Amino acid sequence: MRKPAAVFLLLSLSICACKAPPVPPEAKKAEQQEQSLWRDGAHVWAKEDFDSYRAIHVEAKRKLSKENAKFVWFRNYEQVSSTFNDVLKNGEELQEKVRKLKEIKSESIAAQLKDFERSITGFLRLTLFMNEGRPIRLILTKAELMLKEARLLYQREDLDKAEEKLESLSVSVKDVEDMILLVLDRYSDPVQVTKWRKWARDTILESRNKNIAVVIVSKIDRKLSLYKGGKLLSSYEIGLGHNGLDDKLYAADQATPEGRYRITDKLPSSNYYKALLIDYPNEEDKRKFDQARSQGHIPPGVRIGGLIEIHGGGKHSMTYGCISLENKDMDALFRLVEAGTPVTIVGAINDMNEILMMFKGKR
Amino acid sequence: MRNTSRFLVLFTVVSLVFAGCGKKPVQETNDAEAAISAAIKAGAEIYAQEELLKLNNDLAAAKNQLDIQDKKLIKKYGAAREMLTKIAADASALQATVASRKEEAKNNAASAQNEAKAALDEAKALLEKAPTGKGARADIEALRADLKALEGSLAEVQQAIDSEDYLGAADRARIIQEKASGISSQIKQALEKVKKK
Repeated sequence: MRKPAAVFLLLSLSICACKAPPVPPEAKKAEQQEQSLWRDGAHVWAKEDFDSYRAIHVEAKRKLSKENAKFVWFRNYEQVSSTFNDVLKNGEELQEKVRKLKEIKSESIAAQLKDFERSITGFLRLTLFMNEGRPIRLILTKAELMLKEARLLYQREDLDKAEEKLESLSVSVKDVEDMILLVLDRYSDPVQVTKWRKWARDTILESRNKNIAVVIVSKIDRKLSLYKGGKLLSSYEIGLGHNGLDDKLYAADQATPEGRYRITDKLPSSNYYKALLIDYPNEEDKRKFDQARSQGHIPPGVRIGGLIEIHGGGKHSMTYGCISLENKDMDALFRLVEAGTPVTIVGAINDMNEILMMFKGKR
Repeated sequence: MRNTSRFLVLFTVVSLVFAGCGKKPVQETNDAEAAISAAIKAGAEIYAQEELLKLNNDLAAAKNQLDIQDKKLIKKYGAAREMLTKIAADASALQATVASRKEEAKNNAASAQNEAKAALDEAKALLEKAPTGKGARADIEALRADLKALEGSLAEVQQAIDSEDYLGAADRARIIQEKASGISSQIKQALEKVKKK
């Protein structure tokens, strides 16, 4: 009984006396590194790399467990330590990769935010200038909100959601561009602009040949020019309606007609200070209206309309298709024209006009 | 021979004692995993990211501990069992934390929504009083369209609340409020300008 007990005691003592070698500190560091990588989103930003990193980490842990499972005096952590060092090195490289990827995405989002802000600010100004206060503005305001949400997400470093928001934003901005283009495409069409320019030139020629006063209105420039004897006498800023940049087609479309007209009546007193009535619709307008109606472009029961005037009330007034001037300018104009004075209304005289430049600058 | 028999008996008894401690905590592992899944389902990924990360790390550490013991001749699962039990308890507690944070986010969203609505109502009321004279009609039209757009976005805030996206709803509501307040300020300035004249 004494001998086995002594052997057992000796064995126990030798186990207790033999101190286990310390577990390599790299194991703990690697554990912390993996957590830090996860926190940095390595599993999202570089999934494949993170999976390989985890695989070698698991392998290192397996080796550590294997070593730990050995009797104390057989443990040797040298190889384990080297494996963990590989894990740490791999992790550092992955950390750098994630940092760079994040930086690239972050820079790209910041640039997009800046671009969209510039576009939206420009479009807001442009829509005000165009008097486009309704459908386009509605989408623009929503786009503005989306931009702010995207910026908020970006500031919180939620780059994926910020990017998602920017994608929706780009759709809205594209819609705005398309809607503006619908109004403005005629203004960049060289054939159309040449036609308008010819009308203006012929009108000035008429002024020179007959030594009479003529009026030329350029809608896109928001300008009314008075010529006498072919020479420019004065220019006034004007206001138009909601659809002032469109060519008038029918009653209540709030568009301002384009064509060569004459003053038919001078009204010293009207709802809008003084007014000069023009002979809209002329024969060309009637032809266009009939053609549009036959093609189904005119709502049923709608007539061609009339009563288009140059009147006072202020250049910022929202007209229903007329042309408005400041009252003092209206006074001056009223004195210099008479019934029969030619009035030519064009969309633009230059294809490099301000609105087009503004629009091109935003695209 | 008799001594050898006694030693064998002693060895068996000691082995049985160790074997008693060596039962793998399968149930505890399942419970811990289930509790973490429940916390995730409750919204921990949104409302308690850090705590969830810690739980997952603890679970990984406990599993590592199990692996180590699995490979040992004399298995001691006591520490791993303790860790797993604690994880399950922490995960259950986290569910309550998530629920409370979610409720807080919901209240924040509702309050931001109310503030946005109030700001929008104020802007709409002011727009009715806005000076319509020279220079203002185009601006009024534009502001009216802006407010209409904000109204549409406010409806989207409700949709976000309904789909439990409280953080997104609160963000959007605050942005709407900011924009509506900006419009109100613009109109107030215009009114002030007219008054001075």
